[in-house]
Amino acid sequence: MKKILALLLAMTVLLTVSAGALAADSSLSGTLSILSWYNETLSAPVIEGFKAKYPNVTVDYTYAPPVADYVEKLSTLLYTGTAPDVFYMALENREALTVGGYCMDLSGESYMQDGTIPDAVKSMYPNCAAVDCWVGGLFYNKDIFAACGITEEPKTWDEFLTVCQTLQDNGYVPLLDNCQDAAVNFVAPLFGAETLSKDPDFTAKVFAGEAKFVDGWTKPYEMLKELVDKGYLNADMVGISGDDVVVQFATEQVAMIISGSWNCGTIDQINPELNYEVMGIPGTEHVYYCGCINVGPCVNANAKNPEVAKAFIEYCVSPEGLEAQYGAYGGFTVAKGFTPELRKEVVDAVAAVQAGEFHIPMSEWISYTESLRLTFLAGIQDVLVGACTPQEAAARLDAKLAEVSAQ
Amino acid sequence: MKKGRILRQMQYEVFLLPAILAFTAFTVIPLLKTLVYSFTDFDGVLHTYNFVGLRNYFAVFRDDVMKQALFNTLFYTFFVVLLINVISVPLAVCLDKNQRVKTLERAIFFFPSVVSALLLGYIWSYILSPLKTGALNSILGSLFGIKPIGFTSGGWIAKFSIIAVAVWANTGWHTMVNIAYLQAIDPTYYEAAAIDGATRFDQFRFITIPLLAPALTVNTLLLLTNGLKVYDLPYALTKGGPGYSNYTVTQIIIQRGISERQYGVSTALAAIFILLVMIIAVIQYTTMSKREVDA
Repeated sequence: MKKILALLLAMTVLLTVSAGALAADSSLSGTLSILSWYNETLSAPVIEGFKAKYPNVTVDYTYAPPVADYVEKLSTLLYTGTAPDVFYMALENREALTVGGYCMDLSGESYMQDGTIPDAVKSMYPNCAAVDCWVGGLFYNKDIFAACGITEEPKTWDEFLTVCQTLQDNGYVPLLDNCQDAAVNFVAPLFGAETLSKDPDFTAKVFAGEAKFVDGWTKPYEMLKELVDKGYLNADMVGISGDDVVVQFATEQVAMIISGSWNCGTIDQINPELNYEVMGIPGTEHVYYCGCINVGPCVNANAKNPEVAKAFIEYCVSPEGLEAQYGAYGGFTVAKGFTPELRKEVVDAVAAVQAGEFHIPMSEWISYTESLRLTFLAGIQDVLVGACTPQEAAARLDAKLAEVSAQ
Repeated sequence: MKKGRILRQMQYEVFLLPAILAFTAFTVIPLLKTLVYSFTDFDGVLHTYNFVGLRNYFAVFRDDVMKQALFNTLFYTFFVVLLINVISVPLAVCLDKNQRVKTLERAIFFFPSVVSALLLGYIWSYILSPLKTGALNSILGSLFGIKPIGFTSGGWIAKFSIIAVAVWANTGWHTMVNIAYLQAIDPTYYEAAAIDGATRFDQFRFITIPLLAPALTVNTLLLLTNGLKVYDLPYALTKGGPGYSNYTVTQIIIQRGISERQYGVSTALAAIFILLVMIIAVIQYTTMSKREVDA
């Protein structure tokens, strides 16, 4: 009897070890260095998943907060030849990474050829495994809306102003905008609703010298100013951070904020009972959202450990890697192999973004992205505090483009 | 004889070698490279560049944001130097008194200068948050019914908020320098003055202040150089905003160079700024050193 038990035990151990060996890959070893703009806590599911698959690989993870700090750090590391094996390509640095030849050519990899990465993504982020998207828009507190008798989401600018007035009349702070983020704010989607919806090639024309920024951006800035003039937005909010905005919303101090899907987890942590949803920003006729394909990992052209780095990218585009990234960063995925179950709060927003009803300026500002982004942000803040007119803020974009093009 | 003296002298000079090497590697060479880049169209991406003459220097003087940053930096430096010197001297006199808890008092005033300016900036940004839930606004609101004040969101009020935090953080450190010099003053001067009928204020004015002149020279020089290159505290508190209203020279140099990849323009500004700092520091040091001799 004892012999049979010992035999059964030995077989069980053997089977367990074999199963583990099938899932894990011991052929790769060494240290993989990564620089990301997602912090270590957020990226934990991805890193843990990769380490489980490659147990002999050690990950040296470095974080730099987005956007300017990350871009500055990576630029310095790349130029001095000390960049990590894997880093993330963002809209703000894709031109520099491409021009500088800093990313390894991944065009021959199977996931680039078999349709796992869609063609639209490959043209936006060359040699990069950008697989997930984020959505953003007006996060609104459904309970506060109901308490004020607001039963429908506003579909036009006038309806939106009425909603703000109703909230204010009922003693609520209607809105908070994030004035530190060029991707998630009022002006960007309003540009989509007011300008791009009528002329999808507007920005291309500006870069070709056939149009001026001031012609397409003045109206969105004016609409922002209208919110300030009517008292729905407060000029003092230029002094608060994006985190403050989310906390104010999660603690029900404000009825609506502009934010992105990556903040859903934070809201859950602060107030899991919060009843909210994400809607688009209504323009005079069209409703637009914020959103874009997220940053994606690339392999350093001079990686110290290129095989491990490529294995990391391969893991990221695998079904388990896609699931891990969805768990870590939220949003939705554009790569084949994994279909996430979306949070109910963002279902409509995702559908709208997939239908192309979104705008993020940096996706169109292919050249001089950082210069224009910083000018755009300064314009939002100055319009809010009344330091410049909407037209002046829009004209600054033209002046900046002329200045940097001449350099 | 002469050769022997030179050799004897050389053995001391050898000790300076590591410091000279470090200074050359980390200061002189980067400074020279900065000057070279200021005459080029270097973009920080490609390792090649072209010489463009004085184009970048002309661009600096045409750039309104750079002019604004220069004004902000000088404004910050002027008030920080003035306020810290004005506060730290009487504070040093108070803390120099033989009280039982003087060590604790000195530690309390010194503590803010131990913490990094960036960390202090983030902590103070929560205290000075313009929201009604911000620490200071909620206190003011509950005690006096005052509406929330935009301590970090208004152009001018944000400037003074930055200066207030800088003064709070650095006064203790400079007070300690003053205390060190105060303790070197011979007490017999005060005894003689007291016998001659001098009041406490007379003693402070005619003995303490003149004999503290070397401390004031050191403090002013340090405050001036640190103030002119300030970056972390204004950035952490306001990110330079609203708009460009609180940008400093260092911030615009970093932004234009690294973020916007206009290294030529940013290094041209850096070169101009280095020259300006040198001129200010030399004038300040010469003027104040003369006061020391006179005293």
